[in-house]
Amino acid sequence: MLARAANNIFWMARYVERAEALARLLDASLRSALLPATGEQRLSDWHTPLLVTGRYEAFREENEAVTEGRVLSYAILGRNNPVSIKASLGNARENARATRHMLTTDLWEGLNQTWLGVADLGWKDLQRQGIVTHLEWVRTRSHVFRGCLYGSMRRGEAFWFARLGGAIERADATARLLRVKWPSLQGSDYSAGQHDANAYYRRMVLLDALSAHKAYREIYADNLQVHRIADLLLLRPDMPRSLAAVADEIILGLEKLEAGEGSLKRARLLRHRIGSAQVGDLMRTGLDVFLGGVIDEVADLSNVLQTEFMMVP
Amino acid sequence: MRLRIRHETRYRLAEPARRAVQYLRLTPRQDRCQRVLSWSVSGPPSLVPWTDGFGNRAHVASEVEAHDALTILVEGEIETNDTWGILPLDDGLPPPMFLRPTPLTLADDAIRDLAKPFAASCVGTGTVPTLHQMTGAIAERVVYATGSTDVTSTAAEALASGKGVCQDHAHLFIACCRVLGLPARYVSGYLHSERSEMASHAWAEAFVEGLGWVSFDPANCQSATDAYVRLAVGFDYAGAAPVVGLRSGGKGEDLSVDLSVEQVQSQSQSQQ
Amino acid sequence: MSGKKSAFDEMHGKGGKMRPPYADYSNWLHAMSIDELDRRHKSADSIFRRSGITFNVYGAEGGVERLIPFDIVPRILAAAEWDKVALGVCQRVRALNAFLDDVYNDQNILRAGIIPADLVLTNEAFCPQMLGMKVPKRVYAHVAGIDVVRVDEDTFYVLEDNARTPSGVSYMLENRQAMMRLFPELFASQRVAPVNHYPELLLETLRAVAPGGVDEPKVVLMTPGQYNSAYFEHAFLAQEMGIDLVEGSDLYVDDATVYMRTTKGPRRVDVIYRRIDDDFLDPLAFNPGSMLGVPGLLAAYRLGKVTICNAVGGGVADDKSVYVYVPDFIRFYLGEEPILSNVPTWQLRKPDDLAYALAHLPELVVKEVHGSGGYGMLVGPAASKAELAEFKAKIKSSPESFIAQPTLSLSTVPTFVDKGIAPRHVDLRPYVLTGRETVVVPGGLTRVAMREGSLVVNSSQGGGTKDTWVLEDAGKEAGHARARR
Repeated sequence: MLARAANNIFWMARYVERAEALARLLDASLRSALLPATGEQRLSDWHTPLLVTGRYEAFREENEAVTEGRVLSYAILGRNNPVSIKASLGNARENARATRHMLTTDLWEGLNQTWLGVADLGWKDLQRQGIVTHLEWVRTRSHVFRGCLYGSMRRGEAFWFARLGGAIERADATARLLRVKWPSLQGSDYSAGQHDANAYYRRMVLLDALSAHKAYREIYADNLQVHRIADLLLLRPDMPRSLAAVADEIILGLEKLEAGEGSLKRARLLRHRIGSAQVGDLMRTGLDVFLGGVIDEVADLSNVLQTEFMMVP
Repeated sequence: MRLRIRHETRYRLAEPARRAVQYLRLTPRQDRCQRVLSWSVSGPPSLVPWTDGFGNRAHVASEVEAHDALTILVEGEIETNDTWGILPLDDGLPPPMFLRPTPLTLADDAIRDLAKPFAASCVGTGTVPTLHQMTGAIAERVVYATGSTDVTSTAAEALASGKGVCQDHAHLFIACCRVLGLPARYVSGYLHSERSEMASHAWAEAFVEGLGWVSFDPANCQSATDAYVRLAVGFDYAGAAPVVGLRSGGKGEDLSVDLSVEQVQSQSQSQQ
Repeated sequence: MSGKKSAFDEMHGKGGKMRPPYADYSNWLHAMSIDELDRRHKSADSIFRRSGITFNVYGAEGGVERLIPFDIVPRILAAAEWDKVALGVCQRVRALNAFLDDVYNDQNILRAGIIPADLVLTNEAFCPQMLGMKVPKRVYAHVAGIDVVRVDEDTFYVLEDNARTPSGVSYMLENRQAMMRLFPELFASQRVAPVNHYPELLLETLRAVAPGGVDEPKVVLMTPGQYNSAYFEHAFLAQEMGIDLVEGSDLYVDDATVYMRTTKGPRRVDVIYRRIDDDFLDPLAFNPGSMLGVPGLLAAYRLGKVTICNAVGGGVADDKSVYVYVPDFIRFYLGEEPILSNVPTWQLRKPDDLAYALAHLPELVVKEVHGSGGYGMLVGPAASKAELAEFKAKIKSSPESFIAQPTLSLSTVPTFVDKGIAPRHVDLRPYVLTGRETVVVPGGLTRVAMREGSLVVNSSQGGGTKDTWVLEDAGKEAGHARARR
C-alpha cells in the first residue's frame, strides 16, 4: 500500500477519535458544571478541556476570561483552534478524501456526511440544536465511522492502519483525560464513613464520559472508589477505552501489519509498563508521572510508525 | 586538436540529504567536428546513460541513501577538427524548432532594438558577417564579469545590467537571432583556453540557410574552433546545462570544481 | 443570435414532431408530474452531495468544492446516430496518434507540406524531448475526448480535440449510476447501452502499453493532489480500476526506473496514467519550479522503463491551430475521408482570414489557440460592444494566437430548470481509448448550458451535465452484458 495513503488513513482514524474524545470531555465538563460547587471549582472545570488539548495558552491569547460559552465555542468550532471538534472532523475528512478510492462507499460517505453536519455550523446553530445534543451527535458519528470501518472494510492494510490510528489516539486521549481529571476525583471515600457528594459525582461523570459507569458497577459491585476507577480505566484489558485494551489493540494492529521490530518493541514495552503497574503503587505515587510517561511513549510510537511505514521523514 | 579533459565536481553538505537525482550532460556529442577517443563518467552510486530529445548524451544519476557528499568525475580524450565554426545539418533536429522563445531568451524592447540594425544585412551571403558584427555588438553591451549573474538570469536582465558571463552572452545572441527570424540554439561545452574560467563554456549556434549551423561565441567574439568541445545543445541553458539536479533535504552546500582542458600531442594515439 | 430561434431540438425535431429515440421517454415524461420530477431532481442532488462528487473551482479561496449541476432529463441518441459519431471520433483519434508518431519521428507530413512545418515546430505544445522516441504501440493519445456538436438532424461537427488529459469521464459514469438509482423503471423498459465498463477498458488500455517484457504491469494514476479541480475523478477512476492514486512525491527514480514508496518498501511502477500537465512531470526537464513532478522521470521514460499516458507532447495534436488540419491528417495517414467534419474555421494568422474575422466579429466565436476550458473565448453574438472592442485589440496584437468560427446553433435537449422543462444547448464528449485498438464506450458526457440561450457548456462557466443514452436497436443483440457494479 502506498506509504502516503497509509499515513492518510492512519490520521483519518486518529482525527475522528480525537473529535469523539473531545466531545466526551466537553460533555463531562457540562455535567460537572451542574454540580453544586464554588465559583472557583466551576471555573476550573472549564479549564480542563483547554488543558487536555494543550490549548490553554492559545485560548487565553484570544480570550480574557475562561467562561463556559467561550470554551465550548472554542473547543467545538474555534476558527483558530486546530484541534476543535470541527477542525478534527475536517482533517479526518480531508485525509479520507485523499484516499477515498481505498475506502468503501459506506465509510467515505459516512465520514463525508459527518463533515457536512459541521461544515457550516455556527455558534448560533449550535445553541439552537443544543450543545449536549450536538456532542452526542459527534459521539454517534464516531460510532458510525467505526461501524463502517468494521462492517464494510476488507481486513487489509487500510483497515489495520485505521484501527491502529484509532487505538493510538484513544490511548493518548484516555491518558490525557485521566491525568487532568485525577486530582479532582480525590476526596474521601464512602467506605471511610464520610460523605463527599461532589467527589462522588465527579467520579461518576468521568466514568460516564468513558462509557464505563455500568461496567464499574457490574465488575466491582461497589461504591465509586478511586483505586477501582484506576484499575478499570488503566489496567483492565476488557474495557475498550482502558490503556491496557488500547495497548493490546495497538500490538494486534502492528502484528497484522507485519510491523518492524522498532515499533513492535515499543508497543510491547508500553503494554508491559501498563500490565505490571500495581494500583496500590499508583495510588501512592499519583498518576501524573505514570500517565505522563504513557503519553510520551505513545507519541514516540506514533513517530516511529510514521517513519517505519509511511516514509514520513 | 587532441584534448585531454578532467572534470571533477564535488558537493559537500553540512546537513545530509535524503536522496538526490541529477541529469548529467557531460559526454561530448558525436558529430563531424569532434571524435571521442576515450571517455568516462563516474561517481554517483547509480549512473544510467540516456539520450535526451536534443540528441545529447546524458546520464541520470541517483543516490537514494542519505549522504553528505557526492562526486562526479569526468575524464577522457577527444580529437577535434577546425570546421570554421560550421556544422553540417546532421543532427536530426529541425531548425525551425529553434525559433521558439523561452523564458531565458525572451526578447524585450531593448533586445529588439539591439537586433534591429542587423536585420537589413542579415540575408543571403551577408548573414554570417552580419552575425559576427552582432556578436561584437553584444560583447560591447554586456561585459564579461564573473559572478555578475546566475543560472536563472535572462537575456533581458543581462542586457539591462550590462554585465554577464558566457551563458548570458549566448542567451542574448539567441534572443537577437530569434528576433531576426533565425533559428538559434545554446551550446554548452569545454574550451581549451588561456583563460581558465572559460574551461567550462557556453556559446551559441545560428542556422544559416545553405550552410547549416554556424557557431558564434560572443564572449570571445569568434566562431568555435578546434579548441571547443560540444557537450550539449538546447533552446537555452535550462535544456543544455551540463548538470541539473534536485535533492531532498540537505543544507549548506559546498561546491568545488576541478577542471582542466589540456592539449596533448596526437602522433601516437592508441585506439580503444 | 440566441439558440432559440433556429436551434435543432433533439426531442422535438424541426416541425415539433417527436423524434423516434425520444418517443418512449416522452410518453413516460408526460405521465410524470412536475412535483415528482422535482422530488427526484432533489434526491439526485443529495446523492451527489453525499458521495462528494464535486469539482474545485479555481480562484475561489481554498479551492471551494462545488457540485456540477446534473440534469435528470437524459440526452438520447439512436443507435444509428451514435454509430456515425463513434466511427468518426475513432477515426479521428487514429489519425491524431499517427500524426504524433510522425511529427516526433520521421516528420513525413511536414515534408509533404500537408501542414506548415512552422506551425508544428514552433508550437509551444511541440515537445522536443519526444524526438526520436518510440513509445509502446506507437500510441500517444491513449485517452482522448473529442468534443462533438450537432446542428441538425444529420450534421455533427467536431468542435475540438482533447489529447492531453481530458477530464469529465467520471461524470459520465456517475450520471449513469444516479439515473439508474433514480429512474430504474426507464432502464427496465428501454435498452440503454451500458457505459459502466469504461474503467475496465481504461485499465486494459493502460496495461496494453506497458513497457516491453513486463508481464504484470504496475499501473498507477498520478494526480496533482486533492486540491486539483478534477481530484474527485482521479480518486474515482483509481478506485474503479483498483490502482494506486499517487502524487509526484510518492514516486522516485533510481537506476532510471520509477518506484513508488509503499508500506512494504519500494515497488516498481510500469505505467503512469498521469492527470498532470507535461510541464509538471519532471522538474529536471520541464518546469523547474514544479513541486508535483518526479525528478528523473523523463530519462526513465525515454529509456522505455516506464510508459506515461497520455504521452508527453500530445498537446501539439489538439492545439486549435492544428485542429484545422486534422481532416487532412485523416486523408494522409489513413487514406480515408473524414466521417465527421470540422467546424469551418478562420485561421487569424492568415491575413485574409484575419480581415474577415475583424469585419464580422459580432457573428463569430473567437478562441485562443492554446486556451481551454472556455477561458479566453469570445462569443460574438453574446458580447457587449466593450468586450468586442477589447477582443479586437487582443486579436490585432497577436493574430496567430486566435482562430474564429461561425456561431453554431448547437442542438438543444429538454432540460429540467426552475420553470419546468425547457430546451437548453448541449455538446457531447465521447471518450476514446487507444491501447491495442481504438475503442469508445457508447455515448459520453453531454454538457449542457444551463442558462437560457447560452452556448457555453463548460463546467467552469456554469455548465451542467446529462446522462447520455445510446438506445440499442431492439432487433440487435447487445454486444456485451450490461455491466453493473
